[in-house]
Amino acid sequence: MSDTIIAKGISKSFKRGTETIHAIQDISLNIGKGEMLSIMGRSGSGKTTLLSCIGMLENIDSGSLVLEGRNIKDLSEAQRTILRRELMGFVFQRFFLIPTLTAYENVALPGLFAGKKLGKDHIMELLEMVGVSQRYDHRPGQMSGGEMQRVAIARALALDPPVIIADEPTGNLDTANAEAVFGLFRKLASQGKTIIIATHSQKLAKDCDRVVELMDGRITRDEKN
Amino acid sequence: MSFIKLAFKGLLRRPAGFIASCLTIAIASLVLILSLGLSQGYDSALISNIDNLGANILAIPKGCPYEATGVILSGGNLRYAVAENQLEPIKKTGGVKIVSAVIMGQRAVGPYKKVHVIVGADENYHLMRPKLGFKKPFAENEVALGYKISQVLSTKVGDDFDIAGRTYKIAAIADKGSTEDEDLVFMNLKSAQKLLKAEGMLSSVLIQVDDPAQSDTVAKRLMTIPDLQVITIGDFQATISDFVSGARIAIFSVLIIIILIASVGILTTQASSVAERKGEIGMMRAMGATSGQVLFESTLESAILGFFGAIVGIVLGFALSSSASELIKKSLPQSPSGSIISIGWTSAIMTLAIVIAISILAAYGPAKNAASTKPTEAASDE
Repeated sequence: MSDTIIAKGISKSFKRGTETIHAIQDISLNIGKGEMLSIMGRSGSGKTTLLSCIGMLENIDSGSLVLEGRNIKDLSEAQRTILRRELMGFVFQRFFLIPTLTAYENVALPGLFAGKKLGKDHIMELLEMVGVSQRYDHRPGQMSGGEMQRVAIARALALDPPVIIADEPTGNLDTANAEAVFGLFRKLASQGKTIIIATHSQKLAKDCDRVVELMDGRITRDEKN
Repeated sequence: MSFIKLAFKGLLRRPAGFIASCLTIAIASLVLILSLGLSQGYDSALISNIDNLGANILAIPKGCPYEATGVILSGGNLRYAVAENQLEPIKKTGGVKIVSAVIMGQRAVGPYKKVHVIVGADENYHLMRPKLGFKKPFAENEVALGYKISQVLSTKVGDDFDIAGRTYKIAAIADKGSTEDEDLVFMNLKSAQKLLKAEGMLSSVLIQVDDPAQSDTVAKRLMTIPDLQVITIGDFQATISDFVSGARIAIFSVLIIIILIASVGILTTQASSVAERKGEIGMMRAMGATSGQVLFESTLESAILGFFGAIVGIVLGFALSSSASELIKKSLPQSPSGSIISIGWTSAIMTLAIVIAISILAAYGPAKNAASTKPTEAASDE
């Protein structure tokens, strides 16, 4: 399995007043293509910061990060934005669907920012794949939490990125919907997508290929299931 | 999916805020288009009135010359204090081309005995005021009616017409829209003097000069005639324009206040909208929207808001221009007859452009704030 993501000694800290918070420290992690990795840890352990750094939402302070063979350290914000479009799809705990757009329009949105008109068939295929094609013309307010998260996953896949980053994607879902969403990620991983999921759920983490646990910004466990 | 659709749907997220902002912008647009219409309309109405008058100089009774001239222009009751025997020295003054003697007063006319202004005019009046459409001087016992009064009273040429118990024959009806004097009754000078019990007296004398550029020189010569007050149309126009500039400043001040209120409204609406959508905007940034695209989308929202508000204001401006014209005229000491607010496509396009520009400027701060949103805003809190 070739490595899609190679992180070597990455650190990120934030200033909060006069205090410096070391959110992640000296993290090294190789993640292979098609691997489904879960990141666990308590609140404040650094899960979201690690995902943000890997997903190029944040710049790292030190270390090196290579994504799909490209070293992203010291890229400008604009360069990171463009690379993020190509490489990453994001799914968050709060779905952040645009409430005034339909499911179909929400999935089409990444195409607008990338300057690509996504075909109707492509969007409907994505909605079909996540199991909400019958809700294509519904707005988020007319859908359940599980359906909204499926639409958010379809949106993350709109530009066919090789990596999906999901931060607590089941945090707002009941058990059945959480398992269904995890099933979807499993399916995507089997199709060659690299999936990185931050979760609190031990049960769901066990369904991943690998579990990484963080405490105080450092890796305390890195095991394959 | 397009940015316009995204921006429009973004605005519809808060329908009440959208409607409230649109209404505020509509009010600002209404005042703006009326101000622009007043700037264009007042001058053209005044010039049109002066052109219709056909005179370069007016000889009027002693008193406020501007008030008297305004009454002559718009058609009103003017005291008759110019002696008819002053006509001869006026006619003999160097540079004078044509002179027309006029007497004005009010009497109850027609079957409903409604009081109207009577204009008694001599044989030169129809020559000086060709736009009225009268072909010949008024004979004794004949009247000519303004178009509006003839329509209101359903009369036609040849009908009998009653003025203060005396019967006259309608000899002519003024052309529609040919002049602002559509509510007046015209008649022979002598008949009018008799009717008004003012034999030998005049309200004013309309004077046309050989060379309009020499009006001031001719006016100076006329001023040597005793008991006569003389004013050139140029002086009158300048003085009236001074009167209206005060009204323009007042309207402009109101406009500035309304625009400020509208701007604060837009700013508040967009600022709270951006604050409310931080997570969504962060998500857009995470999925690849550049800060420029977010700025563009946010600016587009303000432009759409401005566009709809301006359209409502412009439509209201077209609908209310006549009423607004009457309202403003009541607040002015003198104003020309007819509408003093002229709204056309130029004012409409100017209003649209100005309002959209102001909307974009007012919401630039929130738009910049949206553009600077970090993609991590979408991530859950650690």
